[in-house]
Amino acid sequence: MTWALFAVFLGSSIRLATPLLLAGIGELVSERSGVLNMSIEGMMLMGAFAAAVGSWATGDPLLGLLLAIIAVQPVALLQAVLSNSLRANQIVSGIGINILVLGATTLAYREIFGARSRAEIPGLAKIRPPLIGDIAGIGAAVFEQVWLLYAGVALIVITALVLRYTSIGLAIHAAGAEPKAVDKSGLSVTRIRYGCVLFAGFMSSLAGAFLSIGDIHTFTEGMTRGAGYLAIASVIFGKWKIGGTVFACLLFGAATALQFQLPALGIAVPNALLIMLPYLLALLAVGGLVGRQMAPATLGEPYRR
Amino acid sequence: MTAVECAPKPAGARWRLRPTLLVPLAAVVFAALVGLALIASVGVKVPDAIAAFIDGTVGSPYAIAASINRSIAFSLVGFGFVLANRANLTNVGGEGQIAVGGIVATAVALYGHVAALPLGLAFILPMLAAVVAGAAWGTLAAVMKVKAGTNEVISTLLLSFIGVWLLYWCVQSPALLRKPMTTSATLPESLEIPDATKLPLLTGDYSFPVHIGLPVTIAIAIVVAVLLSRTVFGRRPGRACRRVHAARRAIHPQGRLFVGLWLRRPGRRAPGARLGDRRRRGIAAIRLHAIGRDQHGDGRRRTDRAGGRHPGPDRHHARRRDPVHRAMGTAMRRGPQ
Repeated sequence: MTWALFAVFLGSSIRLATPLLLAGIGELVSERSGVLNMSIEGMMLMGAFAAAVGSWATGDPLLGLLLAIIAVQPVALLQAVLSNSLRANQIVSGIGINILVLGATTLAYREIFGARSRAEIPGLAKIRPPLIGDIAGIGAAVFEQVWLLYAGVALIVITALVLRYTSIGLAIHAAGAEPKAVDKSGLSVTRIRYGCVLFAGFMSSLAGAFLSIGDIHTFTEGMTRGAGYLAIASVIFGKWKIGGTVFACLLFGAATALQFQLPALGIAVPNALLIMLPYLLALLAVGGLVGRQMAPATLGEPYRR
Repeated sequence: MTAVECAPKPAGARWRLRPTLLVPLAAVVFAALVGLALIASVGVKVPDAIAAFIDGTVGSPYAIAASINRSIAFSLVGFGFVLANRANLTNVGGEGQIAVGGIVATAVALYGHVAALPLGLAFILPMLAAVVAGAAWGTLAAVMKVKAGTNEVISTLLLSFIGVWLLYWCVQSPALLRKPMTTSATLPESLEIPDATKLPLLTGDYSFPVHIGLPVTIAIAIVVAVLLSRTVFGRRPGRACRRVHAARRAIHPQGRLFVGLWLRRPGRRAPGARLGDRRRRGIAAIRLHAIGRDQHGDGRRRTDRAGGRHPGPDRHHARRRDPVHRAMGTAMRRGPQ
């Protein structure tokens, strides 16, 4: 593999990891607060769809991004109500939401786009950051990316700092580990968890928008193809820590990038095997490398006063 | 007897029937209404849609049979889910388990030389092979759960994706199950399986093609229902039960056996107990048995200081010291809830 090819591989790994990263960090926050949010997949799909529609209808990808953020919040709110107020089974309700969104977006896509499904949708602009982008040979291939990617990195850093150093972060961790204590200290567990699920929705909407208007500039039915579940797997793989989650997402991104890279290198591997690879990797990671007692103590359990 | 799961039926079991029936019913009605609203929103006449829906599901013998056949698959996966769920496991990998079962059933039917076998083995063998394959696929998640503590939700989900892509791989590769490519337009699918290996139709009539899966599913449903309602395995751990679990750790082999049995049939008259209501019978039986239980685990019954079998005057004192009684405390006093 030459340097140029390697740079392309690196660049596409980062690009393919970005939706996982954004959604994964959202999921991490949600799980830290005690809500196992299985509807990431549905939220991403809704985000991707709304971004595509908004961008296509207005011609402005920024408005598309805005629409994605707005459109996902009701989905996140539904998940929050189901898992906190109604105390439904979080896994079942999450998967239910995923199916609902898949059906709704597919129906709406066929209604809105119909025969014009090949329509080019205006996408977000790419930027090349000044210093690292100018590195000879690899700068352009690796670092010339959609600006949302860099915004996402900034968001992740901010999230990490908030979780680590602020009282909000402490409250979020406590809501997942020891909700009774949070309740006794006068904070509302329900409110914290609502907030975290809505935040997961916000991050997922960015992830979805990145898929549709950042990366491939079109929408296809069910285009997330399990990326939301990979995001959840990356949280488990990352042992519910930001650094680990980021590493896991990059790993899955690289595994996905192999799909395009190996054929370019002339290595014949069955297509299905390559598509399967990130999931296989996630399975091995989740099965082999994570200990038992890592999850937030009350993950998946609705809080009852 | 290792009683894994247990929970006495609540006293007011009758009224609890209502929500268990009403909630799914309400869900179906609500889902139908949402669906109709969606249909109306894209400009289709609702009566037309309803007519088409009825026509497609129960409008003709063929449609009815197709509906039944489809619901067989749902039911089978559902039974599996419920069983696992009783052990507090959530299996969301039905999709992958179906895919793997389908791959293996097709492979055996096409290339297993089973088509000429007598006695229905032609279709039974592929079916059994599929059962083994699907179960093995599920076992992967189970092994990961037991050995590495992997959350079964995420492992079954990931296995689902892998299973489905395995299926695509099998039908895309001519080296696997894909039918010989005669033209470039040959679809990515396997050959049709021989007639003898297809599930036989109940009526033998292609205008009403309900297949043998229906009686098989009903039989499995009965087995699962019995498992869930009549055996230790099927009982869900309730609050009282958890305390009993704690208690069981403190007691010895025979006591454990008895607690297992007791939890299994809370309504049954316990041996040696002749007290008033059901509940007290259970408690009394536990006490009697605990007192006479095998304390040393060596088959000898416990004796009092005098060496006699009958607990003497210090019986109450002995009972208070008894770890079984201490641990069971309130849970037992309350009896089955």
